[in-house]
Amino acid sequence: MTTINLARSTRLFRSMGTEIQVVVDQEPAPSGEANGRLDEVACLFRAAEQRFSRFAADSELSELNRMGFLDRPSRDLLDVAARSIKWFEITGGAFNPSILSALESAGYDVDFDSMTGCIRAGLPRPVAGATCGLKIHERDTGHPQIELAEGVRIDSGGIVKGWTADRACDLSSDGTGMFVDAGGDIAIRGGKRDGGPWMVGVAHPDRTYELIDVIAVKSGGVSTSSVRARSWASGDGRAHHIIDPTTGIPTNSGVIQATVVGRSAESAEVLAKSVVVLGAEEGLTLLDSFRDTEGILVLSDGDILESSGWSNLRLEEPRAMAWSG
Amino acid sequence: MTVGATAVFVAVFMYAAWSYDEPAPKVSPSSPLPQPESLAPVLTEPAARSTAPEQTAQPPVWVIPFPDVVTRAS
Repeated sequence: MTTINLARSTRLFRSMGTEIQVVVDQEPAPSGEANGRLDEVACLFRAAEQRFSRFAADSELSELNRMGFLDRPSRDLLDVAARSIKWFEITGGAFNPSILSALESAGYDVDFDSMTGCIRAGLPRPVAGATCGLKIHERDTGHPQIELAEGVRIDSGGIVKGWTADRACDLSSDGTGMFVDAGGDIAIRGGKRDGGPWMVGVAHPDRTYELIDVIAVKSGGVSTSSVRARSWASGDGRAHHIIDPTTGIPTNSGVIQATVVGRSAESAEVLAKSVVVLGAEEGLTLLDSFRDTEGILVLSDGDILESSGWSNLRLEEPRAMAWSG
Repeated sequence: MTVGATAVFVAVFMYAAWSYDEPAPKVSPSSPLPQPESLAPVLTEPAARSTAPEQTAQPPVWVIPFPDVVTRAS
């Protein structure tokens, strides 16, 4: 007779303005005994939040935005900056970290928790971000430097949750199955103890308790971006946090939500936002250009579109379990 | 034994044999006896079960893929 042990080690905490859930498929630690792995993950998120928060004046990112130049940046900031430049090039500019001024002009200029119930006044639209505005060079100093173009300020919000979730999972080097859910940006490693994949539900953008699909993922990343999340009342109606870099205003591509499964939470997060910016046709074309990357889109008229291989992520058929008695 | 005594013994024996009656049935006539048709299912069902093993097997339980985690934009 097969017994199924559902006991897992879990940790819930708040960081980066969202709920973080860490689940390790191992027996919970005995009472009073610190679970080192979960503690490490929580510390990793707090450190990343302190470094990358645009709302904390003393964060390294705020210093870069204030100075426009940073000599000897931390390894983590350098890594995120380099990856942001790479994703800008790969997505043809749909992902652009230099949209902070546009984001603030749309009304998202304070921590989102402080915006509830407020009407944010729209400010004059900034110049659209046709270029990345972020450079890394060494010049003659022999060590790396980060430089921003004139008037450019960086927002790491489109990449850093997935980036941190990936690193949190990489702390596990023994193959133990785990996932880290950073507000919908999920890093998954190792599968479950029974060898099976993790089952990931995709939430409906408008119906809180409804899923549009359930897929099986053993390793990689899953991320969902939606114009319904982090949206607020503005002078022009409703605004949201996904900025179209070509216009400098919240995107209105017809895609209201995109969920992407990729090799990492970072790639899934970046590509999900890019698809919402690009729209259905260009977005699906972008996803099809990546190996091991699939997506499902919800359009403003309610239609649901899938990339060519999305259906392969579903279990082929429900598993049957006969009574043993 | 005298002839008289023998005659008396035979007479008593024959009287006893003549006066013996069948014991009354345990089911009183006021209780309706089971009818043949009401017995039929009791007699046939065990045979049907024993020759049809598929009726004794439990149907499989289909496991719906309940998600471990939900991706939701935040």
